[in-house]
Formats: sequence, structure tokens, C-alpha cells
Amino acid sequence: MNVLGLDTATPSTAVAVARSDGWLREARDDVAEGERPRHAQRVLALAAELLAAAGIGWEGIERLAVGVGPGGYTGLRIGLATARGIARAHAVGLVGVGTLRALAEPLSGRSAIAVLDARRGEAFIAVYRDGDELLAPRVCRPQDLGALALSGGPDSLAIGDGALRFREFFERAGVAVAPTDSALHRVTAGAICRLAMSGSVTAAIPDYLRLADAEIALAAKTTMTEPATLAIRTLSYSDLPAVSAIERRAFPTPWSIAMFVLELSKPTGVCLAALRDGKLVGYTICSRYDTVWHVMNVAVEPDLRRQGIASALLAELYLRAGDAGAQFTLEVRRSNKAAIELYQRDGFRIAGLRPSYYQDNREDALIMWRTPATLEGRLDDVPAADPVAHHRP
Amino acid sequence: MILALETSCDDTCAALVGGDGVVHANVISSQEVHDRFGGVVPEIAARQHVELIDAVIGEAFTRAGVGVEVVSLVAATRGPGLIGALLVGFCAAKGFAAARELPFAPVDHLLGHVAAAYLAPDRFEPPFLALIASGGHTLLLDVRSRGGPVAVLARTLDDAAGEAFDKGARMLGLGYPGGAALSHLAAGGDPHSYEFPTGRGEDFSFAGLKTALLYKIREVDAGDPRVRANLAAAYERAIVESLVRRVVSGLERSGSARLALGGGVAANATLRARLEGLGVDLFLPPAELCTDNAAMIASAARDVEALAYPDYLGLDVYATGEGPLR
Repeated sequence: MNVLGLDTATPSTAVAVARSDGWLREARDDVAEGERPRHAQRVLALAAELLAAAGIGWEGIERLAVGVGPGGYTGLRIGLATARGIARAHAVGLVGVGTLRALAEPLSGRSAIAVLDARRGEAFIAVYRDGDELLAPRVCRPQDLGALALSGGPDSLAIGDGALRFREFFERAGVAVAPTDSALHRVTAGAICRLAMSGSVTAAIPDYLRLADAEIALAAKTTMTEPATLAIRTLSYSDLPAVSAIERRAFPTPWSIAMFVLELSKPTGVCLAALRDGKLVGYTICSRYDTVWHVMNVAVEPDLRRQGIASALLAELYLRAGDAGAQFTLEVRRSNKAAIELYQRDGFRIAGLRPSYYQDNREDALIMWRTPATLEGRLDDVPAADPVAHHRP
Repeated sequence: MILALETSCDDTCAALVGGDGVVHANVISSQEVHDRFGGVVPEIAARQHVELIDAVIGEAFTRAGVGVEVVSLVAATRGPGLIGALLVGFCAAKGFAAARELPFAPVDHLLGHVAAAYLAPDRFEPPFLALIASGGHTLLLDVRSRGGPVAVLARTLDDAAGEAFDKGARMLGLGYPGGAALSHLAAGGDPHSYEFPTGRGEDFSFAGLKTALLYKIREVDAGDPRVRANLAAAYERAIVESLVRRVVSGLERSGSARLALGGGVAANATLRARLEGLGVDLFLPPAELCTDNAAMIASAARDVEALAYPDYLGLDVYATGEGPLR
């Protein structure tokens, strides 16, 4: 498969063409420190040169892959919009590749602490080892980098412009940083192409990892002044971009959009959206297997937690499930005290344990049930074993 | 067929227009996400554009009932506008054009508003004066020919006319965007109850008017519905008269008796009625061609020297305050 790959999440403009016969060539435009990126001026010109060199031309592109960030907001949009235009012109499939995953891709046999400068004194970080995601992308303060890097284990190597910028925080934590002149610090579009060919892809929507400043300011203002009106309604397919954005911020191992599509397609499920001032701020996915309601996902925009949004979603869920005898079950991370307390307030009780259930850190899952008996503080109507295959692995 | 994209502010727009000016599709997706911020937030506008742009382009092809192969020229708004917003449409358009090795026409947003007049079925051809008044721009232009140089007869020194409507509405407690609500309230008031300033000189200025309303609200009982209606009516009259006075002066100076309107404020009924009373040959485009749209960009593209592939690959956008009418 011939792939055109681009990444404009960092100040560099990176483009590569990979041909189905294994031929791969990269081109890039790096800017000097403090210089304005030239994504809009350079990305198409570099692509045109490479496509000519590859001898396939624009019509020879069979898949388009674009780095979705995290990274500079404007750069991300230039890459995504350009890719959308090309994809539309030739009805080519467009996929997204995580920029931090692409940064980590060339390193094998040890954990890559992939770090990009997020501006404003913050960093984007994720940890990968031979393609496995050990820490999902997130934004953090430099003083938290050392602790987050520990998820890579003892032989980790920190790479990326953020690793250079915040070198002292890694060195203080005993984490090695690749030498300053190492090519490992750069996101390459060759990695974007290789990941696209191997299927390590995501939706082609920007992964900003941060809300727009105006959203944060408004949320802060709203919290301080009056509680904004919260509306609960059925979740729809058109909510999925917003859902995916929250999902990736809310969980270390987020669901893919495909998983949400699958759940929305089930006739027996209840999928709800919470909207504050018309904006999606949380959702829940619940599926009925036989007679039991499985609460598979409850998520709230991280900046808006502890404001009753999850409780409101669950209250509506109990109503929609319809009868007083309904049984609900869910799994929750043992360390997630806030969620466990929330569920307990709602009448859920801990009824079992799945050891080492979560793949990212081998954490145990607690199994909780909400049944007519648990609402009275007993467990005698809770089914002994739970046959369903699970959901936030 | 011309494919045009326009994303200079908060509307995501795509259009397909024939070389003859026949509009085959004119898709406008208004972002209804800014109201709670009390104004358009550039970063949020840009985020919305990137989510909507592909669907809007797809919708244009669906509505026109044609495939991508009919496109022979691609156009996009290059500026002026919000940089992050502009980039989405501009880059998507360049990407589409490059991938099919088509020529590309970068279009100035304001000349786009002028070119709305050249669309079928009611073409209005130069020479004429054009009043472009929206939430972002207020200009009086002397248009002598299609594609030729355009002279700026008057521009705003501070706020745009649409902005003046919205700010006045906010002062009167009508929320955002409140321009239409202000006009609605004004309909029940006496426009001569208060005398508000219309600015001096040939250029437009609405800052003094805004301040005058603020002081007047403090002075009178603005809780009284009749007083509020009168304030709204007098305020609207001041904006309209401010526009009309420069139009009349511009028509006299240029010796023209033809006027075209563009921009969201062109939908204002009081302004329309006042201009209709001037006795000039007046062109009022339909509402969907007054507000931001891509059909007007396609129309303007017909008079722009298009760049052949690959000469446009390095083009960038320009911000407010730049471009040919700077």
C-alpha cells in the first residue's frame, strides 16, 4: 500500500512517502529555535516532491496518514485540513497516528518516554515500549515528568523536544535523556507511514489534550458563580468526536471510536450524554446482557469532575432501565477512590475482584453491583459469577 | 465548476459554482458554539472548522449532485479574518487542488462580498458602490470593473457595524449575539426619542455611539420596557444613519447612482428601507449571500488570476488588516 504520511504537530513540517514495495523517503522542514513554523507553506510542496520521486504522483496515494498530536494547535489543524482536502480529492482513506507514538516508534528494545514541549511551561508525555502504550498521552507540569516516566521501567530513554527542554527533571529522576544531537528527538513522517501500515492508527481528529483557554475560563467562572444547567439526553453518533476527546483525557486506556460505534449500535443499550450549556461534558455507556445492566463506561471531562455530572448520568440511567428490580454491575480500578465512593453513594456495593485486570498497570478491578438487595445493604441477590467479557481491558 | 471554501470567521462554508455564476451548492454551517462566550473565540472557531470542513465539502457535492471530477478550479478565502480559522479552509482547498493538480485562486474575503453581486440569477455588474457591513468589517467601496482595482471610500476607525449592534444589545441586556434582538426591540420604539452620535468625517466610527448608549442607560430608567425600546430604536437609527450618510456622500463624490450591499448587517430591515428610499439602483442580495458564504468566494475567483499547479503550494493566509483593501 502506498502511503503519504505527514506530521505538523511540532514546529517541523515532516512528510514521507512509503511505497508498497518497501521504498520510503522522508522530507522535512525544521525551523530554528523561536522561528515561526512553515507548515502551511511547506507541507504540500514537500509532499509533491516526494510523490514525484516515488513515481506514483497524487493519484497513486492509497492511504493518507496524519499525526493527530498532541502538539501545536494551529500546526495540527494545518496537517489535518490539508490531509482532508487531499483525501476528498481522490477518495483516499485517511487515518490518524498519535504524534507521541510516532516519536517513540524508532526506539526498540527499551521504553521510550516520548515528550514534546507543550508551551506555557508544560509538556506532553506518553510512554511506549515496542508499540505497547504504557502511559497514554497527557499534558503535565515539568515537575511531574520524572514520576510519570517511571512507568517505562529502569531502561527507559526520554526523547523529543520536551525531553531536551525539561532534561533536568528527567535527570533528577534518574531517567536517561537521548544525546542532544540524537535524531530520536524528532518526529518523523516515516514513523507515521510505518504505523499507518501496521494498523496502529486512530481517528483523524486533532488530539489537542487541552481545552481551549476560553472553555477553561468559562468553566471556572461557571463553577464559581452559578451551577450551569445540566441536560441529559441519549448519546448519538454525532457526539463521538466530543466523546473521543473526553475519553482520551479521562482514561489511561481510552476506548477507540469503533468501540463506541459498536455500543451505540446495540439495540439493548442505554447510552447517555450530559450537556452543560449545550456542550458535551460527560457520557455513560450501559449495555444489557440477559437481565443484567453492565455499566461499561462513565466519563466526565476531567476539569469538571466532582460537580454531580456522573451522578446525574447514573440517575437518568436507573430511570431508563425502567424497573425497580433492575440489576446493575460495573468494574472500577481499585485505586479510583472517588469513583468507588460515588458508586457506593448510589447503592453499588463491592462484590468481587478481578486481579490484574487493567493492562496498563496490572491494577485489580473491583466488581460492584447495584441490585434491590445492595440498596438495602445486602448482597444475597448478586449473581455469583459474571460471564461477560470485559470492557476496559 | 469552481469549488470554493470560506472559513474566515465562525461559518464553515463550501460552494460549487459554475463559470456562468450559477450556484449549484452553497453550504453554510454556522457554529452555534460561541454564544456562551459572548463573542467568537478564535481557537474554538478553528477547532470547529476542522471538525466540520470535510462534511461541509461532502455536502456541497451531494447537493450539487456531482463528483469531484467536475471541479476545474479551486478557490478559498485567503484573508482577512481569523488566522487559525482561515487556515483550515485554505489548507483543505490547497490540498484538494494539489491532489488533482488543478489551478487555485486565493480570494480576498471583502472582494468576495462584492462578487456576491455577480452571481445568477440577478447579476449586478459594475460600476457601483458597495457597502460591506458585518460583524467584522465595515467598508464603502468604489467598484469600477470586475476584477479591477477597488477603491476604499470609507472604512471603520474602530468597531464594525455588526459589532456595534451586538455591543449595544449586550448593554441592553439582550445577550449575545443580540443584533437581531436589538432590531426587534427597536421596532416598538421611537427612533427620535434620543439623539445619538453618528461620528464625524468620511470614515465610520461607532465607539462614541457605544459610549453614548452606556451613559444614557445610566441616566434613564432602563428597566422600563418603553424606555428600552426607545433606546434600541434610537441606537439602531444612529448606526443606520451613520452608514447611510457615508453612502450618500460616497455616491455624490463618485458620481455613481448604483449601490450593492453585502455582509450580515445588510439584512437589517431599517437599513434596507432607508437605502431603498435613496432612489438609487440598489442591489440587495438574498440573505444567504449577504452573510459569509463560499458562493461569493467562487464568484470572485472567476475574476482572479488563478495560479497553476504547483505555483500555489507555498501560499499562506493573511490576517485582518492585511490584503488588497488594507
